[in-house]
Amino acid sequence: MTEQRPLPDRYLLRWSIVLGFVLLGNYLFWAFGAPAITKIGLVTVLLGLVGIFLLGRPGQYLPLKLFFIGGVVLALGSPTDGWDARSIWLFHGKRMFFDGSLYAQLDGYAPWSHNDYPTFVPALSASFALCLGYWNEVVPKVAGVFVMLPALCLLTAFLSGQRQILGLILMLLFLGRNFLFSGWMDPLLAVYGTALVASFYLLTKGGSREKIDQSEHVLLVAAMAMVAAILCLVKNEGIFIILAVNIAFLPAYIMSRVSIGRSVCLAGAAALLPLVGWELVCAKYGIHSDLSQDTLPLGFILSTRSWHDVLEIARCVFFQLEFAVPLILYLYLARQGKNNPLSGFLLMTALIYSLMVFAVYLVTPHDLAWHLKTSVDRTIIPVGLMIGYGCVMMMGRGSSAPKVLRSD
Amino acid sequence: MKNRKTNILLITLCLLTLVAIGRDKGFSPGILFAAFLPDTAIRESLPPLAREITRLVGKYSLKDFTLSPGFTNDPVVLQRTVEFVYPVRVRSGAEFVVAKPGEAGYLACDMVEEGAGVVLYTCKGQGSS
Repeated sequence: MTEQRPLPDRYLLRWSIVLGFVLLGNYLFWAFGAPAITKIGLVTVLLGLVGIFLLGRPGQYLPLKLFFIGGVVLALGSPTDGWDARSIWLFHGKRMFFDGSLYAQLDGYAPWSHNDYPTFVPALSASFALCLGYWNEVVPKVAGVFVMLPALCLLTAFLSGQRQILGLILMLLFLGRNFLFSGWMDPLLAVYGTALVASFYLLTKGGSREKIDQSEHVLLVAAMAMVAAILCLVKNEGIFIILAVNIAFLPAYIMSRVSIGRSVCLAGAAALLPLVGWELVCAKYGIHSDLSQDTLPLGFILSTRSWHDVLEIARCVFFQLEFAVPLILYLYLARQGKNNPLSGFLLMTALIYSLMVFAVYLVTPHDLAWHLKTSVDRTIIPVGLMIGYGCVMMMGRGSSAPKVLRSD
Repeated sequence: MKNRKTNILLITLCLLTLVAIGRDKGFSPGILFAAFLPDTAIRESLPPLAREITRLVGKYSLKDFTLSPGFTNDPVVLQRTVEFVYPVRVRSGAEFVVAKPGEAGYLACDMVEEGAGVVLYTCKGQGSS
């Protein structure tokens, strides 16, 4: 069977790259202590670009545009009451806004706010507050919706037809639900993680020796680098998703002996630099993750974790609605003969990442019941979206999957 | 025709999910139309005790203050207060102490004001426990 590789819509691919690099620019402005006026200027550019995107090509990509507008309206019209949203992400943004520094949280104040967490989204929240002139309870929260847009453009670029785009939006709404527009990072992790898997697969062609067009290659490398850089700056789990992608690629790499390619390797390494910079600054200030400080030795855990604990973790991780529903849909579509290599790669990466989530709960220094109860429905969202996106890809195979490059 | 029906079904499901999210997250047109004002959605976001502590902190223009164990043992009040009063900082050993009414340990301090479920003391020169 010859592989039908979905080819990206270049218009959306370019928008994804432009918006993503503007967001990265905002982070770098904060990282290098640029004056407030430059950050305000960049946010103005971002708002202008988003406006042009929403008004451009009327009638096209309507589900994506309406999803973004709906997200902004919901974020602006609802209070911020989520625990992590307030105590971690918006609090870090607020500290940056008042102290005028990306590194404000590294003084160790309020350690329960996880001062080691990266500050990509809080940096945009702080920039929005700079434009407003003061901090308030709702506007900084909109940063999450703006950060979601580049990855959504990239995911949509690989789809064809309104039905597939609607399928993606519905899947995201179902999986993200109350975490989606309320200042939580997990839906962002899911969207960027899935975008990384898809772009990495298309760049490496899943291990096949098929050549891709040079200009498309350049765009995909830029998009993948942008997505990888933002993914690991959104939340620490991003690095686990990058690891899961590489592990999922190993069988193809070993069997087909196809190299990933120098440009992909270089772009991937460059994408990790902002995270490396952040971790170095954290180390300089003596700020560490609570997991790295408190994680119990493996031998000790194995002696204390009962089979009941292991089964409870497995039940909570693998029998979540957010995991089970996309998986059942995937198996149903696969049984209908609609499976394709990209969907298979997404499923493989999702399963590897879910095992990593399982392992994290196994070594948690916190009370297991409390940790599972308060987080498992969020941490599993990336797994669900990767499988769900695979289902959406299957929905469009055959009749709607493009066989040639779609250009603007 | 079949595709059109599927699209209509998907659009309906998306809209219903958006409405459900809005309802669960307390979406309100009142908040939306006041989204760009400084004090929007404070009442909906913060517990009453945190709002009262913030009111006292603002009224007396405190730079920092101590929260009594009666409050620090309640993570909701502690974290919401610390977040919301920032850049005012909560630290131990500050001149001003915010405690619960009748909370032991502040007999030697002077009461500045008693609010709803909150008392502001000044413990200048006496320290706070």
